[in-house]
Amino acid sequence: MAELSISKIRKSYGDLEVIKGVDLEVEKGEFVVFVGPSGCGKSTLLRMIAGLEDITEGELRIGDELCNNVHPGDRGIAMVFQSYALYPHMNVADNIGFNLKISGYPADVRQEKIQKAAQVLQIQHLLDRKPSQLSGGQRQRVAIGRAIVREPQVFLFDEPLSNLDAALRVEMRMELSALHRKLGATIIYVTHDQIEAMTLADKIVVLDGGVVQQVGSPIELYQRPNNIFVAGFIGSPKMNFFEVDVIALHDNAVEVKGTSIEPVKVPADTTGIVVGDKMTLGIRPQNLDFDPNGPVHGTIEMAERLGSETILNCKTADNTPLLAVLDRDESFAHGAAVRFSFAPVHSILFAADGSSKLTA
Amino acid sequence: MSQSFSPPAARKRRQQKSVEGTLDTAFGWAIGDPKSMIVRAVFCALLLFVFAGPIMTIIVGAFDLNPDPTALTLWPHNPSLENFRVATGRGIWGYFANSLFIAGFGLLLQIIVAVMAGYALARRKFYGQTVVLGIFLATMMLPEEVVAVPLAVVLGDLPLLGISIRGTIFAIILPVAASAFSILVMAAFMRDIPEEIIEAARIDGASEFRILLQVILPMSLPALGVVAIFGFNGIWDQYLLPLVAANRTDDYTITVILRSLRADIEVGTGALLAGAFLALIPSLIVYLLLQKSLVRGMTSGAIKG
Repeated sequence: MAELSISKIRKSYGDLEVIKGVDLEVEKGEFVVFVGPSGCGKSTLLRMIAGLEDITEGELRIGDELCNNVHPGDRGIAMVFQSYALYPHMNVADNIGFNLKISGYPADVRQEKIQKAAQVLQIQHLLDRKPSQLSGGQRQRVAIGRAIVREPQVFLFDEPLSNLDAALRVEMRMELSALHRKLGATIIYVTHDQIEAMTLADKIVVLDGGVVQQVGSPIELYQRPNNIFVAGFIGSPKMNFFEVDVIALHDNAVEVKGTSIEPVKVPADTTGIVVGDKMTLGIRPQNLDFDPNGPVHGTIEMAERLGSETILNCKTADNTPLLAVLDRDESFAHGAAVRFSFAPVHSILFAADGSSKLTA
Repeated sequence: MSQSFSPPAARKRRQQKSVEGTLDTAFGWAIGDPKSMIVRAVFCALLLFVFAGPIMTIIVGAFDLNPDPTALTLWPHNPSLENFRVATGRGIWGYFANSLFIAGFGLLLQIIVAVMAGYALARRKFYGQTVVLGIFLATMMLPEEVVAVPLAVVLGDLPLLGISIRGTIFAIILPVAASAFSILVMAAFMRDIPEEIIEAARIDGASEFRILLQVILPMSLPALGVVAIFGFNGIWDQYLLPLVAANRTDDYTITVILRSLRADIEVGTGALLAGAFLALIPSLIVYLLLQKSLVRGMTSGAIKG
């Protein structure tokens, strides 16, 4: 049985519907990441699970209990907020032990649990300090400690690393991953950072406009996106999209041509496609190789030399942005005409409605 | 190239001072300059005279056998406790105790009401919230003199209960139990407490009352300081309310009895000043105790933390 189950959940504020019927199953010990652009409803969905937002319609089950109207404190969840939300007047030990105190644990048991959580997070030396005396990373650890100590069925993280600097974010990301392995906890994690999602998740839920666009493992989402939105959202830099016309149909392949794409045969599910259709061809920047005879052509707007790789920002003849990542350092002149080749098997065709036409 | 918009003379003066290693003040008075030091000393002395003069007169006069309130002295000419003996003879300590009880008990009630009403206004959403806020504000616009007579009538026949509490100590305490100013101060402060902290407490399993008591209230200590100082002084300084609410002179407060002492020709100015001195002390103590909270409460939100 799933640790957490969401069935046809909806959330409306008056006439505005922000979550439009979400179904999801989270298994025990799974690390699930909700990802999507700002305003997609990922935080609202998390807050509905936490009990901080009412559920307009649908069912939320944690374990085997229907939790739609259960008080947040009784749902068996713990939440880590973006701003940490530590109680500023309490020291670290009291912050971590506040729930235990409310739950009526005796002082010695409380102390033992606080010490244990502090040990896991290596914050034993900070227990007497107030939150104002801690750095961002330390505050984050305390917030996680407050969650750990409750031994919840499900941990909820609402963009917990957003307030940290880049270096600390990488460090905390690794720590969170290690903590998940160590505790075997079920975690639901919200982020807008798709790198965080890719590195941490067992399962990613991509949301847009209050609708789940796709649920799957990070690699599945990267390699086999359901639609143009998921393909564009997952992967960094973003996938290139080109408007193309279908010029011929083959067995499990479609031949297309665009303003800046010479005729190319792309493996695809040909169902419902006819010659003359307008489609979108998606190619990841990493799959483009600098090749003077390649079928994709454009002019260089800017070359970002990062040492180990070079990101070429180009424009095609019809002003479509074109990004290419070369795995070497190389200088390019602004305005230079360039050509790229790519392996058609690594490109994806999208129908006019945005759905991908990947072969089975 | 950086630009300066200071008048040339001022700029020149500042540059000059800067070279000398001294600092400018806001008025352009250089620290260490004897002329500017004299001007400032005179200015400060004048301010001190205006504000501290009357208080000095009370303190010195209370301990002087023959005080002269028209003469400002720093030390009593004939030091004596005789004025306090005379005031004691007039029952000043009883009135002082009345005032202390009313101010203490009234302030306690006022804080409880302010905290709960402030929390409701700041953190809960309910129909008519703006109207309630408007009514609270409206009460602040009515002077004490306007309210005194209707209040006396109400105290004589409490709505719904139909009983009279006039002539009891509660007739003075009940009207001060709610203060629009205190409620608004608490509400304004509580509104600034991040919602996520309250949500975290809710997830920790805290009830609404526990959130208020153990999370919001400790975080609102600076606002409580402001409410305590202003509330205590407001109740302590009440004159008209005790006058209309009390039936017997025994129930009068020290502020009311000071007026009687002034009118009493058998009692000299000394006893009046001794009474005024006693009336001064509690406010002073409350202020000194809560001074830090007052400053934090008044300036909170001014600078991003």
